Amino acid sequence: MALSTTAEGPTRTSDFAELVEAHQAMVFSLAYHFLHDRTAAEEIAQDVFLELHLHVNELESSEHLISWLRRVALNRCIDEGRRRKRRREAQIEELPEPIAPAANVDQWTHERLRRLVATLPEHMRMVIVLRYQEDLDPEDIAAALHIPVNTVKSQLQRALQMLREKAGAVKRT
Amino acid sequence: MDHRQEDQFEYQLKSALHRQEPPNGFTVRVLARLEPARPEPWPQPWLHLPSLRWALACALGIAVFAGGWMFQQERRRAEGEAARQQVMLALRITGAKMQLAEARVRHLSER
Amino acid sequence: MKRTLLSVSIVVAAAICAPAQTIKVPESWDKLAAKADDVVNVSLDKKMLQFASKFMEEDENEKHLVSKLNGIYVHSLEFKNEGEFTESDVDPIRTQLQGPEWIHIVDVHNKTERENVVIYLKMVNNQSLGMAILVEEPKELTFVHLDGPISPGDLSDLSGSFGIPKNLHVSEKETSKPKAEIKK
Repeated sequence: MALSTTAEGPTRTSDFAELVEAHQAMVFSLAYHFLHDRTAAEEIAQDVFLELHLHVNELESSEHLISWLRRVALNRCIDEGRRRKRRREAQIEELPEPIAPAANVDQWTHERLRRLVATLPEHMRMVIVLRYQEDLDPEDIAAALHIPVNTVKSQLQRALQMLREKAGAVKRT
Repeated sequence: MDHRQEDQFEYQLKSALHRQEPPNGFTVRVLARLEPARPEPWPQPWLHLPSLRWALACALGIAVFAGGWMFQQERRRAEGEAARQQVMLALRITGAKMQLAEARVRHLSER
Repeated sequence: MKRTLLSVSIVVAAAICAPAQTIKVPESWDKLAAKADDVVNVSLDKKMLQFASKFMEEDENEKHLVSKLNGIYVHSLEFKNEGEFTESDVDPIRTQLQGPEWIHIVDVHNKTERENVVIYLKMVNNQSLGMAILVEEPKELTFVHLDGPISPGDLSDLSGSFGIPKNLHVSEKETSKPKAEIKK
């Protein structure tokens, strides 16, 4: 979707609403998968779009818009994660495991994986979310996070290893 | 863990991390937060009228001039007040010393 | 009388205007000022006095007196201890006031109180053209010079203002006498 509002000046509400609808799932999910907290994720997503409204005329293309949204959303997630750490809010590891419903094993597995992702160190979490939510290859992730491709690859490997170990440990308990 | 298992794990991860829509009414809530914060479009369309622009420039010029004049007046008034205070101080000292002279003269006259 | 140390803008303004103070205060007073507890230096020339008089709305007499003067110069030093100044600090002023036009209208020397109070009037063609007051007290040294057509009558108009005594009346006739000297 091309940004049709750059030349005409301030964004019209209807145009902006279209932008929000087009990208809300991506922004909300980045925040949700990073923090594993729907309320916080919605708050962050709203903030990201409010910021977008101020800068929308500076964005030159839809690709630019998407990378801008990803970058701002992840930065806000990191800030929120660190703020929570400072306030010693309950860590995801400390919360009880979801009770496995007999009927929907897949749903239970997905929820458990999301919780495990949220326990990874912040850089690994970003790499995993961009890789498996956004389906970006290591080169794109490296460009988005401004880090070397090899770092992305090694972090992906280590993150997957940690997730497997944690998943195995959970299974065993 | 073989490749098939590894693929399975990544597949599950991908499914777990699939994009999710935010709760219903998300866009409406964003737009509602946007309303009070939305900056006024600038410049205002009516400012495109040359006569209005000139009027505004003139009004601004007059305001600046009036402000400068008032500042000068206030500074002059403060300087005048300081000078007046100095005169008062000088005359008070003069008065005190004349009082002293008078007291001494009276004292001698009474003797 | 408690006074505060003044280094006021008026003095600066007056210095810029280079007021023609006819009686010079000796340089030794600058050194004394450094030792003094309280220092008052007021130097207002005609221009400054006329400017100040515009802001003296309360009393027409004050305004009239101030606006017709050519200058008001007050130098007062108050010390913590006695004996900080000597006769040599005062003599240069006395010397300047020895001209034929300056007459003493009051000259009081009180040995007990160790005070010298001298009031001079400048008379030219039987007209008063200025007034000077030199007061030496154990801990205080004051010199006042009102330059301009001021007469004791003008001061009596200000009776009650600024602590000027109501009954300090010295007639024109008396002022024309060479000296009205009272010594103890």
